[in-house]
Amino acid sequence: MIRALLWILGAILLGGIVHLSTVLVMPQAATQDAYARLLPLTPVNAMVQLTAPTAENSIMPFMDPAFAAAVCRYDLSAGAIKLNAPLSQAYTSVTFYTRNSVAYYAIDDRAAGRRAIELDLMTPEQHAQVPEGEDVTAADRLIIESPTKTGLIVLRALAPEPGLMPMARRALANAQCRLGPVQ
Amino acid sequence: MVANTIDRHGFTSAEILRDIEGRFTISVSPRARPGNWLPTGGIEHYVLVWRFYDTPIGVATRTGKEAPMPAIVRKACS
Repeated sequence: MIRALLWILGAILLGGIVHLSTVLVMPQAATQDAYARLLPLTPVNAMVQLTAPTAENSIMPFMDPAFAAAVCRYDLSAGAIKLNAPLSQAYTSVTFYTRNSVAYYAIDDRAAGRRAIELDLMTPEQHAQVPEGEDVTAADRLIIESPTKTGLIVLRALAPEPGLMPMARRALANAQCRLGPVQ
Repeated sequence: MVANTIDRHGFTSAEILRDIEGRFTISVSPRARPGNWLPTGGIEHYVLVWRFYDTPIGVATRTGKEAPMPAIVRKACS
């Protein structure tokens, strides 16, 4: 009796360990994650607009049809990235994702409080090399540290009604993402 | 996203029709309905998504009084 119970307990424990480790490994093991899907569609270190999702075709699952989206697939091994995103008339957001699709920073138009979102993206090592005192004097300069060398910056602009989609797309078309020296 | 003849896939807060109290009702159905009609194109299984952007509602908010969630009611075909 005891023996059978021990076997059952052992089986449950083993099953639990396998289940948990599978769930935890899944994000790293997934081959069709956001980064992999965007790899053939986007050049590195440049802003590209994503085609609007349709019923038949959508780059990502559950994309919001009310939003225009643009992506910058970045690689920081050659240097820091400068991002300049003029805001559209409606809600605009910028979200930073690591290579493994973990969102680590986001800012929206209201938090930016200006006509454009301007920031520098760099690795912690590159940030350490920025001359001391400079990012203190420029109070409005935003420096974001990326936990991974590669990742995604996603810009989203809301079209409050379908007729305003061209406005949202125009705003995104002016966004820039490029390698830039930190001065 | 569900294919349909009028290319309607959702409503934003700016375009949705509300009643005097500011509430809104969305009819999700294959046939046209008055008011906010979200066409299903005749498919049987679909997912309804409600997204919040730039909102005070977050993981720290206790759902309930602060943010009343919408009710989903099944109605018969008519």
